[in-house]
Amino acid sequence: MFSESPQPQNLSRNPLCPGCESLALTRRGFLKRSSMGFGMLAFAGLANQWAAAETRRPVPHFKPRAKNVIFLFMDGGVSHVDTFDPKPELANRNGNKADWVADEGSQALTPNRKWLKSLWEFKQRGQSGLWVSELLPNIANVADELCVIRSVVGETPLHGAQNLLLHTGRSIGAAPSLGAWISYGLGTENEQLPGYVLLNNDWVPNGGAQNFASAFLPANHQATMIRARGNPVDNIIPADPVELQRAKLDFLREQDSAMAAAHGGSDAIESAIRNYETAAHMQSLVPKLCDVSGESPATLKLYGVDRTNHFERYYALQCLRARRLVESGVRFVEITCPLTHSNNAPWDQHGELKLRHEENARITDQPVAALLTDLKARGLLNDTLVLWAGEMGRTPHAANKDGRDHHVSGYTIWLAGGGVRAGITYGATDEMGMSAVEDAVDIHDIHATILHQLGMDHEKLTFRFGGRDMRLTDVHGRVLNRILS
Amino acid sequence: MNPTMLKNLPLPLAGRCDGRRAVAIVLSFALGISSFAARANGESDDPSATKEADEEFFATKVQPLLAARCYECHSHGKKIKGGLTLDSRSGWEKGGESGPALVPGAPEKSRLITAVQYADKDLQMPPKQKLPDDEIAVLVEWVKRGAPDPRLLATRASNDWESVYRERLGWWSLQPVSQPPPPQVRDPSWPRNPVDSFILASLEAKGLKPATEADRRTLARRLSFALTGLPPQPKDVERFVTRRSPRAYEALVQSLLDSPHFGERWARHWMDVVHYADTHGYEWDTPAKNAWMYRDYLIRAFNADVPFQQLVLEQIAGDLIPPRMDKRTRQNESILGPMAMRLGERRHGDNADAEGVTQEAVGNIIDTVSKGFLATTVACAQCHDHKLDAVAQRDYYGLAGILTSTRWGARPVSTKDPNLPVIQELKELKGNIRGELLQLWHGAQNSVAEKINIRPSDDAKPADAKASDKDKDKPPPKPPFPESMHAMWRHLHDAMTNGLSFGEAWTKLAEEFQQEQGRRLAANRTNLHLLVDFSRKELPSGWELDGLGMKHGLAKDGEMVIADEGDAALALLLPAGRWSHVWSARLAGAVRSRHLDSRPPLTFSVGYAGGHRAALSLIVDNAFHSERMKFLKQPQPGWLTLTNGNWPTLAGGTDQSPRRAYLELVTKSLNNYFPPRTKYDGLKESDLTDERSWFGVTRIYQHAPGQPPADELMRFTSLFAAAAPASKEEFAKRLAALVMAAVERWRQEACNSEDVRLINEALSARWLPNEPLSNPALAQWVSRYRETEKRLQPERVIGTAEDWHEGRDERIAVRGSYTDLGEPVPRGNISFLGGPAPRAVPESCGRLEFAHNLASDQNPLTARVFVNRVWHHLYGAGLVRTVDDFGHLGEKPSHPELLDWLALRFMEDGWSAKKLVKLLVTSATWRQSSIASEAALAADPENRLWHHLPLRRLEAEAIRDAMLFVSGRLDDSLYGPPLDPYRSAEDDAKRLFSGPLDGNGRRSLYIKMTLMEPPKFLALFNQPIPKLTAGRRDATNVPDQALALLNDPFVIAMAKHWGERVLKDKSKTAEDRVQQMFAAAFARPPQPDETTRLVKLAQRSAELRGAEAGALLTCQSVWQDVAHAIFNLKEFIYVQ
Repeated sequence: MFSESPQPQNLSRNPLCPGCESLALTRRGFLKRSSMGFGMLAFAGLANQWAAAETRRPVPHFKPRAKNVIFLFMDGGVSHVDTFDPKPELANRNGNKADWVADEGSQALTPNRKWLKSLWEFKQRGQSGLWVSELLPNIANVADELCVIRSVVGETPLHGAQNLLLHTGRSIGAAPSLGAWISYGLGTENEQLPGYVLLNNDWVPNGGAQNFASAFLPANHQATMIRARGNPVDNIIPADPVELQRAKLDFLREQDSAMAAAHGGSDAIESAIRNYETAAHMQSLVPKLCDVSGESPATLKLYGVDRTNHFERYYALQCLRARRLVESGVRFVEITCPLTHSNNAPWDQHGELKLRHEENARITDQPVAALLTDLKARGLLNDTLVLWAGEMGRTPHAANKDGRDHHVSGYTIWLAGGGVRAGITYGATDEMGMSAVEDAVDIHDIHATILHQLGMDHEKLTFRFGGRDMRLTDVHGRVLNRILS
Repeated sequence: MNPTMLKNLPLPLAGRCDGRRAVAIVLSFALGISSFAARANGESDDPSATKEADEEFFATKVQPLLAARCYECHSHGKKIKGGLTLDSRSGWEKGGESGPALVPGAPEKSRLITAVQYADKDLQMPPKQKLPDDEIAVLVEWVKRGAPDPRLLATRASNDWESVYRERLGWWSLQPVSQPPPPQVRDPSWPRNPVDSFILASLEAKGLKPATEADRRTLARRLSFALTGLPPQPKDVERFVTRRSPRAYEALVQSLLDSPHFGERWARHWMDVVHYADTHGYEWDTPAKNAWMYRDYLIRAFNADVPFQQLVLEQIAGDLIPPRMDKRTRQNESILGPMAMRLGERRHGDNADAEGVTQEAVGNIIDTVSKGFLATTVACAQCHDHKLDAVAQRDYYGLAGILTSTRWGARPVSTKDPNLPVIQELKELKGNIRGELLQLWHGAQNSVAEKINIRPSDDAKPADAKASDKDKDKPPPKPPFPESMHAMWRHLHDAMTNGLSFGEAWTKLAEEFQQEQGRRLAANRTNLHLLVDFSRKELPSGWELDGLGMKHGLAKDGEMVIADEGDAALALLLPAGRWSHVWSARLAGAVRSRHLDSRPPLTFSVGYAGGHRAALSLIVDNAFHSERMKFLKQPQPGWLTLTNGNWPTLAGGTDQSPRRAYLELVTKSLNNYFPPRTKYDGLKESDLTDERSWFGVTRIYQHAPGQPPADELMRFTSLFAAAAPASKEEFAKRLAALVMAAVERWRQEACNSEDVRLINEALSARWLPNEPLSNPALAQWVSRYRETEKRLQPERVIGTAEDWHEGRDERIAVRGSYTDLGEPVPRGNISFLGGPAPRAVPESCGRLEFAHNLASDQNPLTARVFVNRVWHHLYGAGLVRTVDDFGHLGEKPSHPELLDWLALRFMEDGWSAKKLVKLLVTSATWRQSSIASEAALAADPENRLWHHLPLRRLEAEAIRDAMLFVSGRLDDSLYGPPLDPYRSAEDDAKRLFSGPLDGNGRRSLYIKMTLMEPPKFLALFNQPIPKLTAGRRDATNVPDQALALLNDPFVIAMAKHWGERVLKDKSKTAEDRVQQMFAAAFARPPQPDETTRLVKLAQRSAELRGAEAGALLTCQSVWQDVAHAIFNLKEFIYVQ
């Protein structure tokens, strides 16, 4: 494994993923070559890349089309037939007995199901004529940027399993997150920042912290969480006044250096010492990065950072931070949705579909649209692949008029930017929105395509663990060439 | 049972390695066209000409097409996906994992054709894009022609698993443990024991010398962390340093081996192997049933130096071997072992809910067991034969059969009943209560009739009064015949309200009674078949009782249940059967069935009552985490009708064998699935702390659907046998007499279940006095009963494994797909351990035999793997550095002879972990300094030859524990339920609660490992996510760790605690104090310049904090700063 252990490692035995060249350096060797000492190192980022940097310098397998990914995780499962997949036939048969609910990937929690038409009107939007419902009016305004995939097929209509599948490519846990793989595969674009940042608010989705973990990949690839509320990052606020901390840091450096010297300049001790300089710097760097007060009033308003409802304000803030982070070179930024009420997951509306889907839309719609607009205005959308996805869709049938159950046999996600064709739809479900019938896509295909856009071959990005060369896509995945521009 | 409990949710059939569905192809014979038909179509009869034409067709059309379109994935030169090759005739003849690819002459029967035609949505080739129609036509034509294929047979020897296996058996780790003598060395003065001879010989061979011996203080600190995970006490260090005895070192080692903290340290190491967690993660993070008792078991076992061989047996088959009784707890330790297999991520539900739930869990167990004990990655063979090691796919399914034939239930730990004397007391108290009640009731004869003779209130109209508009026109359903005295009273009352006289109403009722009773008796005689009579001491085979409540719960008709709270003395009288709460609702009980046959469907009814979250579960496919559970809310005995047949077989798959399901009625504590997720079936979190839970069962009848047992109304026979009462008043007296006659039979201990019903109705209607308040004597007995009952000790229960002799072999899952099933594989062992052993009981799951295979002296791996783990923990790396993988992808041992010598010695020493640890830490090799010579580093930079003992960072737990220890906050008590970790945010829906910041000073292994969100501080220092075996931890170096040590509230709190504590020491000067603090943290006094540095820091802190001159020694925050700085020193988190 790449994990750093106190002993020098036999690098030749380290499994290297194809496309990564070994620098065959010890940490000390690297330090000597970089010959900049602490001055340069003080900039090492939130969760530094040293453990990786000492053994490999990642290079893409081929010319990348995108540099960064922003993943807008619609936790709980947005209803596809109420957002991006209009079904006139569903409206025609509204209230009729639903005759084929027992699809493998369609949950029917209660008996006596009836077809339920969309609660929101659909319209064609923009130049592209893409269909978007009135639930998401702001995203509708940027429809021409979207590549809507209407034919995603999951494995099991359960949140935990689907969340893990979406994040890690396995419905059973203990595999690294997409963000961790990307951080591992490419390293950060900017050595001063972590590869994978999670914009969250202490919300643990189904499937647990595993969704954001590095698992068997080195720990520095796991998500660094930035909260909307309170301390943005754990332990980032200094416990001591500046001068006192400085005094302690000086003491530590003096004392620790003596220990390192006694151990012939131990790599482990030296890098641990260096971490203190980095950490000290992070205490000011991270809050600065998270602080959006320097943004123009127009930008703040565009995202909705001026909203009074705190769920809405926080989500807007996180979207704006996402732009700042990719601007600064963070490879993978994920934003989770807030949970506003007692429920299993934010978008999980077995009941109160109208109330809660609209509430979630009020929280996410404007900031997401603003993010696309802002990225485009700054010329960042070309290099940034935006993924908007929940772990599942919702059943076109229902037992009542105001709730839909879990559905994975055909649902919708969308991509934007990052070299993906804009203003198109790909794949289709049947006339009722039940099953993918055209160009069925699974999560592995989405993962393979994302890696492809970042310049990585999903079959070559591997890590040896537990007797296998593990891949994000396991033994699956194909690049969706037809959606690429 | 509620229909949703048995709901059939057909869900995707996802495979682990192969998530795409692989559904069996249904061959269509209906459309079969023979090859002759095709040939007859205008072709030449000349065989040679045909042959030539065919071969040309093949060479010009078919082969280029196969090469261009198929070879990428189906040829020997590239890949062989699905086991299919198309670069030879034999390739498609043999076919892939699903059988031959072609049926010559019959394209419609040929999988290859189906695949290229995209006719089956689950079998589409090439997968990326359908071939052009003209190319498909070529292939169809080729098959129609009889698939002429002149290519030579090209079967490769390597396709033959047997020969591959033979070759792979030669791998080093599969060879028997050899008996190598310690080698000769040139410098005989250095070795202290044979370990050193092996090490020194390899160093000498390279011309290297070992490092000097570490100084005593370094050794004391190293030893203390290595053996107990805690820093040494400064006074112990001083004693050791000053002792002149040559045995001083051994004495220190021995004292640490004897420390109770030794068990904590080594239990924690093993917990990484079995990926210990207190919860199961996924959606609801439900608890692993009292997993912490397994953690405590490990601590006791390592402290007691239970032979590791025994621990292997216990963790695999602790339920099947003779109990090992712990002297102190007097409980069966063995039964705690199998929790080892149950830890980690488990999805809720079962295979009938979502295909693959059980397979996932089984895969995880096989992975854990094979890595943990054998350092072999057997789980790699779930989808195919192992790519490199001597493990066939059959081996995987041989183990899977053991595990899917095992029940994963909860069992009591105690074997001895601690409650017999208390129950004797309760028995006497019950007698007294009974006497008082009889007196009261005897005196109440007249008042019973008076109470009955009260006009029923009008507000208790039947529920059907508010029928919906839709039902308005329908005639009201005929009301059921009244089955209680109260209902009869109401019936007559209503009849009279409707204009009948009492006499008329009575006559009508009496007639109806005769008809109704006759009908019911006849129906019961015809319909009911008695399956189980729980009033008998012995149950028919297939049904088992568990728990002390059930053991003491054989009740005759009329057994009293004393109310455990409230105004009433009696809760109710019981009908004959087994009742968990005869003595107390705090005693546990369970009734479990064999696997019920699902074909033909069987409908049966259970006589039962239950409450306080006792539950009924139907457990399908031996689910680990069933959610077919319903809480019992039946205060008075009633019937529960169930059907065993309405769970589905594997629809769409090839496994048409019936589901395996069993029934369980169980109180909370013995319920494997309690507590379920929050709010499940109306669960309140306060239900978790209420110790009470009860149920009972009387009989089980089998019957036809819709024909459950009918109430035969026998208790009313005498009522209607006599002449009609003259009036309502007389009828009331008649009913009262009925009750009193039942009471009289109860007094004579001759009552039956009908009497019980009458008395229970009289009690609940408050016709019979049942309130101790009115009777001081009764009140006294009842309160004494309640006090005594609280002295009963509830049973300790753990989730474990069970063998009900219901074994079934598993079938190979082709490419790991759950629905594409091949041959069944005999369950049992894996081939390289000798293959399945004969089972003592053929129907058993085979776990016991497998456990014996694992724990055998002859097993080449178990001892080697364990000694290597111990070496790894003591030396920082194993002799085989990939401690969980001794296979081809692992590393080879640096000192194979030493590994064998140690393994053999370990076995000869009775598999004693303590002797092994002692041997290793008393070696000269281990006592080396952590500072290597330049020459050694140059020659062997990786220290594979052990020319020094490497500097190591402490594990997460040791870092946290050391802070607790040094600051004086440590509560070093052992054992107990886990404490919630400190969290920045809680989520009560998933029971992610926040605990005290410092965990009340408890050691880290007592902090709750919630799989959903493991303790953050520990995770930061590489405590592994407990989902997979992690015998070797990472030791990353990231700034987040520095940030935590600088700013984490726990670290600050510990610094504050220490800073406050040192104010009370007797230091006269700052120098004195910093020296003491330094020694406490590092087991050595500071050098003068180190003292100076610390004092300087203290002074600077005083200056910045505005401490008054001269107040340096009394300013708490100054010493907090010094303590904080010491925690942040590298020396604090590293051990030399």
